[in-house]
Amino acid sequence: MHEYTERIDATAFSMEQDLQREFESRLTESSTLAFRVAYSVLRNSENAEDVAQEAFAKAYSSFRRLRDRDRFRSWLVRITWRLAINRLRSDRRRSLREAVPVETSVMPTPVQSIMAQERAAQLWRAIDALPDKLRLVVVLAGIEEHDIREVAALLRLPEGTVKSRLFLARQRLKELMQ
Amino acid sequence: MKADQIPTSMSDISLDREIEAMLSAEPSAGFVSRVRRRIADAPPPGWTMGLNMGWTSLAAGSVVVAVVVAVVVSRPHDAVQPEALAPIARTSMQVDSPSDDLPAPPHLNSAKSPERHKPRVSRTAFRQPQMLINPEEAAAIRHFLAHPQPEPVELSLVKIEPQPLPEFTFTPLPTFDPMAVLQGDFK
Repeated sequence: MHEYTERIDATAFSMEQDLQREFESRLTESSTLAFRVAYSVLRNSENAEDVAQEAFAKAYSSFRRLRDRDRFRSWLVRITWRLAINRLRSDRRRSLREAVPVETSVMPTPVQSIMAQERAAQLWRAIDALPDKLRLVVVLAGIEEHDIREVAALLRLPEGTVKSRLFLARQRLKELMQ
Repeated sequence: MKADQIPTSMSDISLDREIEAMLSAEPSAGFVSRVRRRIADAPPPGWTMGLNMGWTSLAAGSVVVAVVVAVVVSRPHDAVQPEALAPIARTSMQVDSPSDDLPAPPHLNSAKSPERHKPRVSRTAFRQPQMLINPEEAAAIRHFLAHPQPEPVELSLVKIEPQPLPEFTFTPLPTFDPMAVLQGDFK
């Protein structure tokens, strides 16, 4: 009886270790994705890291219940996006825009002018003005050079839907940028 | 963005490049290690799952207990023997019959609320017949059924005294001649 219990404990322990290892590999491969999704909403590296960290913690707490592990990235994107939107809303409520400095990811060089920075800020505003459905497609397509198939897999949508949303989003952005 | 997205014009390409450039932010070097630390501090996944399962089983158990209590409370404490009273119950089970006015038998008054004795047309009412006859009458019938008398009842011993009838006086009705012309007609 005692041996049987010990064997069950050992099996449970090894399963737990497998789970930890698998999550660790997912964390390594998806950390930048989560960060960038959060960044696309919050436009602030510190806040984006906080949100991505929270998203990973949430994902970890429910990781055992995720049956299809191949959908981890899609799941993580959704968690991060929702958390980032919530964070943005609460920040807005708290300080009604204390003019969060818009970070530019690329450090300005002598070639880049203030005009370029202004254009980037304008583009962010245009992206912010998009409806959530279109915004998420644009952001995911812009992150890590995702193609339409990858974006469709991340959002669990048909490729045709992603294509049309991307087309609409580009049209809207161009209109808003003019 | 990759080539399969087929931007329609040059401006699409520049737009995509701009978006890519804006989103090419990188997390800080210690980001992943901070996430690891946070996960290590968090309770293991099995703990939350066990908690969830605990809550689920607790909720299910409380629902079962509530159902059992409801069933026990709704049953009458002093059950009427259905075999003995079936004919009576059948004749007196008219929900809208005049016998509704009669009070319910005391042994069925076990429930706390008086509203429970109102005749209700519900599934439970049909399942558990409610007695709607006079309690004294019911008691007499019950006594009769409990103590049947095998021999015929001797009725010759019963004396019936004839009661004197009251005196009856006949009063003649007033008569009149229908052909008689009264004064004041044909004016």
